[in-house]
Amino acid sequence: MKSSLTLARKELAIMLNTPATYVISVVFMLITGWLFVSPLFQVNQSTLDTFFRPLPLIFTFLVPALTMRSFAEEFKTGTIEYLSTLPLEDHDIVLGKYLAAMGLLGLLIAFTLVFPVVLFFVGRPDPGQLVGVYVSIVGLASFFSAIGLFASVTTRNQVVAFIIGFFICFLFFLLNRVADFMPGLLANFVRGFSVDEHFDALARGVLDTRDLLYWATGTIFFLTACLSVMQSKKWR
Amino acid sequence: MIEVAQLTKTYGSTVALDHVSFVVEPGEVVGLLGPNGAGKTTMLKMLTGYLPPTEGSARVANCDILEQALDLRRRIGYLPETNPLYEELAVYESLEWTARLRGMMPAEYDKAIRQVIPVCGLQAVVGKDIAHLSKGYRQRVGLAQAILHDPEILILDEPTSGLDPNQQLEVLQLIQMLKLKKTVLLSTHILSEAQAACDRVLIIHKGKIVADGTPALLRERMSSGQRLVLELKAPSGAPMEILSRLPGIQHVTVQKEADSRTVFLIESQEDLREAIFEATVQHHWPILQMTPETYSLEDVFRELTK
Repeated sequence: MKSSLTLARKELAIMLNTPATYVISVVFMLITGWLFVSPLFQVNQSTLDTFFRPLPLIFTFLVPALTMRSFAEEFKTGTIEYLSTLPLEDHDIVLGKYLAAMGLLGLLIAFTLVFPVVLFFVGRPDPGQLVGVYVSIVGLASFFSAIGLFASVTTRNQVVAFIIGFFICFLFFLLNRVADFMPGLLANFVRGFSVDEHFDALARGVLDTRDLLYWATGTIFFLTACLSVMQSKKWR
Repeated sequence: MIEVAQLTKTYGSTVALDHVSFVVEPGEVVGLLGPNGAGKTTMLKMLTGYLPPTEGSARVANCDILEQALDLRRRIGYLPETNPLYEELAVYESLEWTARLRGMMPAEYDKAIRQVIPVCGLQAVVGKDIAHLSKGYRQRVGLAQAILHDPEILILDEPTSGLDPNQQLEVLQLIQMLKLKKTVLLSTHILSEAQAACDRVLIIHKGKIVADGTPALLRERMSSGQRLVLELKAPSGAPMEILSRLPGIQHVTVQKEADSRTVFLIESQEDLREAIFEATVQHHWPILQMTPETYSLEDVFRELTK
């Protein structure tokens, strides 16, 4: 775990040395800021709904964009050989990269905490719902980061990694809409895999272990897949 | 110490390494010589635990490359052929992160970095981003990363590749300095480099070791007899006939003939300088030059890898 944390700090240092990180972060802050501020001034309504409801769709673009270089660049430049010949286990490398992605997303999410603070000045928000919203956002970030890392480990090309990551995230985003066209039992089954379903449930302020389990298993599944692909590349 | 036993690596139907075995004793500097695609890099990648072998086994610093990969990586320093570096980092940052990822404590790595910077000649670029460094400096950063934790074994894959002659010399001098304390296995296809830096060379060709010994021993083995360059003040005809008839002569060829002077290359099983001298004196052919010629490592390499 100590090695993973050290690697995460190094990854974060590299990410913060990359101009693209700042461009993506500024775009994210502008979009979410606008989503939060527009109802406040246009309809005089103090709510977080307009900020967090579109987040699954925004994260579908944002997270693969932030994680696309994590493995793809290592394979392209050959630095994966440097990493793999340091005294680190393969799972340390995957975990380190995941923690770095979560660190950066955590920083971005922390910036959005200014929105609920503003709400406390202009209205009376429900603290329970606020906690639910932020647990949802962290869960979503974790799940999509794992998908982004998995996409990145499959290729040497960052753009291809972004497209694969976006496609998988978008698939989980679309499931809820696709389920609307399915018969009852199958629709419920498909909805069980949808990010929207679990995101909305938690964001209502209801902390259900099934939703937490969804984010955790999704994250573990894609991180394990990422580890397997990384190891299999060595044996080729 | 490095012990390699029947190490084999195949990629599909292509055999990159074919049952290779050798031992590198502690304190030895061994050069892995071979043409491009001979299997040198594959061998080194397996010895660092980066690539798993298809067959066979190897122990590096008393660690099995498969079973004790983590311990092995702690005890070796490795400079890959492509010398991959994080371009976004400055030289000091790069060394610092390498040390941290190797589990070194701040006080320990601070001292280690201060030691390797002058050893690798990085004082002038220590605060610069790696992206802005010349190839020579990048190679030095790679070497500094490899020796930072004071490993007992150094594995260097073409450490002077792409460097200009001055930079090559500097890296070779650095290796000479390191060899006082460490076991070094380096790959190269630059023969002068192997001759200058290595106690022993292994010539690898098409995945097999075709020669193993000191550069001098390999040259000796290659030359089963003697070679002499003889220049006479005489036309080639008659001396050629006389020299060919001398007992022990294997082969006589005319290398050059001009202005009544002829240069012969004489190959023989034993030292025939005295007999040749007597024959030329008898026929009044003045000797202008008689030089024993030795085989170079280049000759050995060309002969074994053609």
